[in-house]
Amino acid sequence: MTHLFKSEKVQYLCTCGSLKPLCRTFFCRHCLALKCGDCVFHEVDILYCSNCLENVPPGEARVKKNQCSECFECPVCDQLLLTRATNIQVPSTEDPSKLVPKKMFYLVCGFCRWTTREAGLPDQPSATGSWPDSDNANSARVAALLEHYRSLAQLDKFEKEQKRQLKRRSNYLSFTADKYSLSALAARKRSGLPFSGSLGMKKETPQIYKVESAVAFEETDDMLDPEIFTKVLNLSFVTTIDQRIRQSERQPVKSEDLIPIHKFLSVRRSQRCRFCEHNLSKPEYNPSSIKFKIHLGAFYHVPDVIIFRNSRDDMQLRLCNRSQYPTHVRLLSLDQFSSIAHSKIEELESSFGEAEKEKKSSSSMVGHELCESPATQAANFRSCLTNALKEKVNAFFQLPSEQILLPARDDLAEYELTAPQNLKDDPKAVLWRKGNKVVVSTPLTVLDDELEEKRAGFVFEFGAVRAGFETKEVQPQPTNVYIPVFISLGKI
Amino acid sequence: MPIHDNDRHAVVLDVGRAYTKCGFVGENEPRVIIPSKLDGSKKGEGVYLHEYSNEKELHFNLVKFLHHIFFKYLLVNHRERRIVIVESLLCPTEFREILANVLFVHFEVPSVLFVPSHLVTLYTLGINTAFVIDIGHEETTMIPVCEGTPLIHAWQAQPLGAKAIQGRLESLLLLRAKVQGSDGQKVDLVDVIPKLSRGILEDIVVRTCFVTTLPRSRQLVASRTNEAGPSPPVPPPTILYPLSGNNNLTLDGSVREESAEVLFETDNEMVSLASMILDSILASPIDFRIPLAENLVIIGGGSMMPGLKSRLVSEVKDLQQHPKYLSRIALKALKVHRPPAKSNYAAWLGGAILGATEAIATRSYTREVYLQTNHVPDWNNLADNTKEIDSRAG
Repeated sequence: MTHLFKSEKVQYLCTCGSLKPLCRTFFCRHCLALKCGDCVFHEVDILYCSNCLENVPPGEARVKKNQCSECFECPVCDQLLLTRATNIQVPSTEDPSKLVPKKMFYLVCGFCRWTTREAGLPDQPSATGSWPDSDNANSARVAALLEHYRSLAQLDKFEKEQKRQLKRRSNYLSFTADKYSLSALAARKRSGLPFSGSLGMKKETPQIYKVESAVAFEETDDMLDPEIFTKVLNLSFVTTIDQRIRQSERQPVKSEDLIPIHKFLSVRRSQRCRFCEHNLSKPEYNPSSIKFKIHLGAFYHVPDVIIFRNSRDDMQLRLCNRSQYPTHVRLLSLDQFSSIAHSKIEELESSFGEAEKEKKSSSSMVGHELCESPATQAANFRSCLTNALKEKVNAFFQLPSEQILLPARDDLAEYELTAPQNLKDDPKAVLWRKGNKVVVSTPLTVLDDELEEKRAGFVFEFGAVRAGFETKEVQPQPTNVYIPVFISLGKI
Repeated sequence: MPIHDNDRHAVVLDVGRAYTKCGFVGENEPRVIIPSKLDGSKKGEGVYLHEYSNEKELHFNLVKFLHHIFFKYLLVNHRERRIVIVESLLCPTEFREILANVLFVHFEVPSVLFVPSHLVTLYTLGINTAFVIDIGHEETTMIPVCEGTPLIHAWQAQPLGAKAIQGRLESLLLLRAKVQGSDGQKVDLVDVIPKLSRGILEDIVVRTCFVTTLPRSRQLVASRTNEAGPSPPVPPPTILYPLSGNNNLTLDGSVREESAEVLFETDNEMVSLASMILDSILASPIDFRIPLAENLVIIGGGSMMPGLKSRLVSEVKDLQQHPKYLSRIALKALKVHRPPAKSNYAAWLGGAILGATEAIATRSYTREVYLQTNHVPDWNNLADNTKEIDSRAG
């Protein structure tokens, strides 16, 4: 589905200054601004195994090193391993002379046919199996080293603290010299403090955990096997570097040493606005659900534009409103936008001066206050304007001057044969209308004919309701949002 | 902010030229080792992080790459994790600063601790003095560390790494190798593929090549330079390496054996891995020369080639007898350490050990300070390295 809408031709200018197709952006309903994937915070929401769709709590995932305990991948080709069962005859526990069938399990790769038997691993009596974990032979040594350096760092910290306390004490002594009659003040200050150092409560010096230094050898551990000069090397018995580094602690050189690899967990992310820290997207907790608790994709909140007819004299754009509110859209040229933006900035800055009288600094503001503060809005306008003017355009649309009403999305409207025609549209500007879609005529004026690729831009002005207002009893007042859009028209 | 509680282990990153190691502090091995490149580019092969044309591109690529690491491999919220960056002291300032900018400004990490890779390697051994040789993809860097202090004036760096071996392999293949199609006819490789991709070259080096022994290497050189000299040693058997389609590359045994010789060949300036070691030891204080030679640590992905470490030791022993060094240096023995890690992530492990201590709380560079100064302290910047500042920090 994304592929259908992921057109690189129509691009929206994100708040961060990059151009993105609409379906790749979020619309923060608190800041009323576009946010792309590069300018939002990503957060790990839930961890799950993408094969068994098991939800793994973070604590458990940490213990298991972000691996699924039941799903395995092929060490040769990274495909998922399948569990196979075989029957073997084993002596019965009741009567050792009789043979009873018993189910045993092994893993096989459906793609490259690698099996756990190939690695010399015995079949397991249970389906999930207790397959060997690759354990690091050096773990004891590393643990000892860790302990050693931890104790050293503790000692280091302790000594620094001691030094600082000594210094402080000497400061107090100088106070008690009573030159400025501060001794009483100092004493009062000190009386509340916990005992430190001086009164026989001295902290014990941390002990250093001793560790044996490593020993160097005259012989290295990689002496060549003399066979290497005479024996024919069979490439299929040697692992590739990708196979080696997938088992970083073992890095087997021979194919026979490969063991099944636990599948890595996947993560579901939630997105948060960098500015106001509101959630822009939050998936549902259940890994098998594809729904969202919060989903502020710009696709559902900002009118969508596609090129309906692409020719110089008869340029047509189709606008579509996928939000649940009807909205009035106006298409502005970049020049119009620039004058609007300048007046808005002035207006906001004067009100910003008033706000400052109320002694509200931006650092103390949170959430709504921050988003709605005039200073923020003015800054947003300014950056939006500079970013928009940076873009190169060599063609201009003749845009309809009037506001166009885009009705809200109504799934039933799709099935109605005739569209309600009670809207007063300028027939020259609006060529077609159905449901929440409108086709407008925007003839093109080409400025620079030398460049073959034509690119034009305009600014969307549409009304959006700030989040949080819906619940209030007052009728929500839509705020005008301005989003620059740039369209690559190709060679026309 | 309770960052140092046990729930939120800091992230350790070692962004190498070829591979990036990433994981958490206090763990025995990195969670993943991945190529330091971005997939899905239009060229098909992916773009390596270090191959950038301008700062903007590097910034963009790093944002994408780290996003991938945080949400695909480590699965953590970057805003709650301290970061430990394991980097070479010779890391380009530009790369370092952009990395810091991306971490502090884009990802808003609370703090970053830069640790020098050569120094932290010693944390995996529990020793204070060692000669650290890092054979990477692009270059080999050597820094002696004496009593916990890297001696920067004695550093050595040469573009002798995995890339040099791959380059030699490519030229040898284009010179000698044949391609055998399904019809059994042999054609020169040059006529089929004029340039081999980095992926294929790396795969051939990793799976088939090795570093030959010193006597065989000398015999090879003698047979090549002197026609009346000894005959070359019998090369290892030829193998067929599958290329795309039905084509097979005839991989000559001599190619497999000789590719890595590029590291040890001495040119007119007499620069090889062995001479770098001796020169660097000579530049170190005289009392430390013997301890350094007896505490060699060889790390880096490039050092994982079979036979490399033993060859390097015998080359150094051999070079000591050269008139240039004979009168100046008298080393008793050469000893090599075996860190409790694979060579390619030994430096990472050092960072993971250091990051698990209190040091991460006391020595990290915090976001607040970065946002005020917009600058990362560096050893080669005089503004950060005056005594006055040191005492203030201490």
